[in-house]
Amino acid sequence: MADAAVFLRLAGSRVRAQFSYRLSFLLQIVGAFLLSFLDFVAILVIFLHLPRLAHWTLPEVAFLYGSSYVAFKAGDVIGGNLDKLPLLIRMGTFDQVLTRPLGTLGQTLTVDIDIRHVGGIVQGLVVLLYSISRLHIAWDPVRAVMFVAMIASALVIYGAIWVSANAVSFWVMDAREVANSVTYGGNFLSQYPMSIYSIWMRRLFAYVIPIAFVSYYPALYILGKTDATHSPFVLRFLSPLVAVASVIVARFIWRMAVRRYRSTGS
Amino acid sequence: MRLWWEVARRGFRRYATYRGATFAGVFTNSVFGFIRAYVYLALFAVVRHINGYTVSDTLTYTFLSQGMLMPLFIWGWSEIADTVYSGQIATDLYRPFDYETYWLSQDLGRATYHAILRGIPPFVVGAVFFTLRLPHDPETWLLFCVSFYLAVAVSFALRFMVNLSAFWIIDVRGVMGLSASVWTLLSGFTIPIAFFPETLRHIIDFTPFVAMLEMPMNIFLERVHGVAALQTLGVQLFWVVALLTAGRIMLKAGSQKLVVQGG
Repeated sequence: MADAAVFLRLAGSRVRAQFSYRLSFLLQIVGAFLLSFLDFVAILVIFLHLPRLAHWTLPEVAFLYGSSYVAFKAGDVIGGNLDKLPLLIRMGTFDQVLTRPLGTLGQTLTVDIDIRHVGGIVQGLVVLLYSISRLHIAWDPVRAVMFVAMIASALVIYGAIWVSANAVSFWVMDAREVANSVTYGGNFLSQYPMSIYSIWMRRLFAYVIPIAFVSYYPALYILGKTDATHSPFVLRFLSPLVAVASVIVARFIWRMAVRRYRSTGS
Repeated sequence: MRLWWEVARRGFRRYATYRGATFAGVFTNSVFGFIRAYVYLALFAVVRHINGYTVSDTLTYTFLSQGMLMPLFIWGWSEIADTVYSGQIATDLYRPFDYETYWLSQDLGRATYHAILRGIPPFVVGAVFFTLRLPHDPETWLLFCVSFYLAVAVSFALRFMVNLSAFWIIDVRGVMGLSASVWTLLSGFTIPIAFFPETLRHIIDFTPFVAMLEMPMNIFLERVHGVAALQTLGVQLFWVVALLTAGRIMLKAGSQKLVVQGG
């Protein structure tokens, strides 16, 4: 736990550093806010042409989008740093990380804290609040708990995916962009009901990369929808368990990856 | 001319070094293409046409635009801005060739590389799994090639100006992020412009952004023929000339303001 205090201080200093260029910083937050609206604009434009997409209404899709996006962007604040991992490896700076008496993952994650993503989080919240205000959800204690658990699990699952996918850099350095297809790609995929995808894509993004547990399965329960993919009913409640499992897997992958690290020459 | 040709070749070769990155990029562009494709399949399961677009037109648009992402290089190109901050630009401006044309040639070479290795593969992947629409007229390919390079030139001119804003702004990342988000939406990357409400469409038609993606797409999908196709190229050319001129003016204004530290 002493480590946690160090990481918090590290993170705090990175955050303060970003306030130095105020105008640019402000523009970047506004930019992040606007940029993150683009995906949602696509959803709005699609719903100009039809009332329901695969039996989901606009507020329902907005619910998937908003809940997933808030968690994704919150994870991006820290996980997005893993973008810099290939640089650490190529320059051999990862050596320094290894010599310090702190966890390697924690150090890599606090290389930089990008709070521009706050713009994205706010945008996700706006969409989420809009959808809840339009949805007439039959709130009861179970649904309320499920809702909180959904967002928390989503955050953890995204974090685990960020780490596992980016650990690929330890094996193939310039192939980092593959990680984007499951992080950014996974988030993009989660904005729509899983039932629109082909069967192999659904299996891949439910059982291998647990994106379906980020919003789709819990949302089925909260919104009281029937699942066109006929998945077992119990899956709707499993997101917290999946979150724990993905953390275990991510830690394992990270350890294996770090063990493979061979510094640069000279 | 010979010089610019050599510069373009260097631009091509420079990006050809990163093979792993190329493969990874194609993979990622294809994955995004797939996700978009399924969204459109769900959409066209309900509606038959949207403003003349059929399902196969839309899927073709999807995979082709995924392929054009890298050639148009919308995200994160800050090479010139970096030289402004390091002071290197002062030396570069002294060199005995035209600064803007140098970077344009370099960029056309780069775009050719990206078109071949990052543009065609996602389209082929898309064609394997979905029914895509190839042009019926052979001359469409030629028109599309011309339109493609004009689109790259428009994108270059815009990126050139964003980079030059470094003369006035201490950190260009904000402007870059903001402009990239506007371009992605208004050029039709996020969703075809044809799907937008009519009034909005007419406004967007007057911006240079449609010259980056929507226009080459209209040619490839043969939504414009004959004279109309040539007119489309004409509009693109207009934007290329207008924006490159604006960039030139901006460069002049900026370099007069430039102060380089150190000796």
